[in-house]
Amino acid sequence: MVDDTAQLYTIEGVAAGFLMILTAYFIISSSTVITPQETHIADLQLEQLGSDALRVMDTPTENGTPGYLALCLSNYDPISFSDNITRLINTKTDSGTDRLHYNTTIFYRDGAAIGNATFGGDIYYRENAVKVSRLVTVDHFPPGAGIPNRKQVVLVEVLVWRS
Amino acid sequence: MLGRRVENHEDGQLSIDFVIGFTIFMIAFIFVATMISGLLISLQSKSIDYDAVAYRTGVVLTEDPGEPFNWHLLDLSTFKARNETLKRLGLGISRNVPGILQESKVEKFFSPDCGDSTKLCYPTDYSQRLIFGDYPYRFNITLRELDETRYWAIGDEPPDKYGYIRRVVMIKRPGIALINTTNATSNELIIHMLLQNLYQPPEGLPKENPAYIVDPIRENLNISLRNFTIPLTSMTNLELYKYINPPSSPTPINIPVDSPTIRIYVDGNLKTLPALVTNDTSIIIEEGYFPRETINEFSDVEVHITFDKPVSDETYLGIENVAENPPLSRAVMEIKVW
Repeated sequence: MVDDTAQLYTIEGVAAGFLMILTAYFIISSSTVITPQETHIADLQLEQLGSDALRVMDTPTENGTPGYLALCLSNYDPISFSDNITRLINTKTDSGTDRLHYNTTIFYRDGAAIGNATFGGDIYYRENAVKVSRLVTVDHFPPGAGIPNRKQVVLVEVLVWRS
Repeated sequence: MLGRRVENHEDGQLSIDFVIGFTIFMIAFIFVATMISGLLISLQSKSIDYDAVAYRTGVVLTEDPGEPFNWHLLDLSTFKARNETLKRLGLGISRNVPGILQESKVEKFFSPDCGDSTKLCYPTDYSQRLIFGDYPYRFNITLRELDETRYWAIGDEPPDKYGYIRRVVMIKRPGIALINTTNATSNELIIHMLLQNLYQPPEGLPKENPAYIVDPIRENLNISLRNFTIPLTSMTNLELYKYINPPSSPTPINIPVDSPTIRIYVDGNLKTLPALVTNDTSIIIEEGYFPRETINEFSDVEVHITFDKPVSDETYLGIENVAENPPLSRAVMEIKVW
């Protein structure tokens, strides 16, 4: 027997269509899809900023004077380093500031081994961070630093992330 | 119709077929939307493109000196300079030292005026010589010194979404020659500029880093006179001489009225000679004046400054001994493109 069981009546059809369109609209408009390309751009911005900051700190402001980065390392002064790099990576041209954090590790040669020492910064918990590095010539390290006290080139590695 | 509805008690209910069908549709839709989201976004959004343009603009501005490298000295009032010679607006001092901007270029870049034929015109020159591309991008570029209060900006107010990059840079400021006068024997102060002493290192030493060179050819040079001990001393004359082929006799150099030329400031006010001087007296050799008078990095120039009272003991004042650059200053640049 032919009857109208399991058929859509006009009002239900319109309602269902409306529901589907509304749902599709909500899904598309509310979800931010992070594609690999966009992540790459965000990483690139952080990486550029981090390497810019290291380069500026490593460039002497006057001829014949040591750069600020080398000075911080030879005095083993993570507090001054922190003041500088935080200001460099977080300052914006308007009055606001960014929310970037950093964590620094120094790698040096210790005999036949490669040693490393933490040089201040924020605690890193698996945030989406980028790594920038710079080779710096340091004349000496103070005895308390735990790094061989001689003229050497060390690798300064900085993790930068946004909170 | 009314009779049928009375018979069927499922009126106003969604059928089980419909619910199952709709669920399958939604699951399929979510799968498809997730899997091709990258494709959809690249088709529908321009944000990636804007970020890339902002990045490229940042690289051109901070790491490139522009084309030609001394574009800030071009006389843009000529058709050839504006439309053919000027190819790219970079603010760097040299390709070899990226991230260090030249203040002279910064000043020229951030002071457009379409009504003044010697200045850049916003936005035409910037779109064609900096942002590039066929799409009519709009932009906002700002620069702020960290330890000073100086701030530069150009462009429109940005919308909510835009391509963005931030760069940390240093700015090289023009050189200053500090000269302390004395009340000794001579009314004339002679500054000797053997320009290769500024640009070429002494024999055996490595080439000077362009970030630390005093560069009177491409930047202003401020000859700052201090310590006038006799009251009411007046500067009466200012002359420049060029030794064409030493030791021949010096040739006077023209000092034109219009820029680039040499200007005298007392307490910050522009003066013409004769002028009463104070301990805040500056003689500015403007950028581009030396090239205008065909003086180059190997020229031998003397500046003769005459006063009505004794100011010097006739000692030799070599420019390389009295001139130095202020320390490089740190700055942040933001580029927004949409």
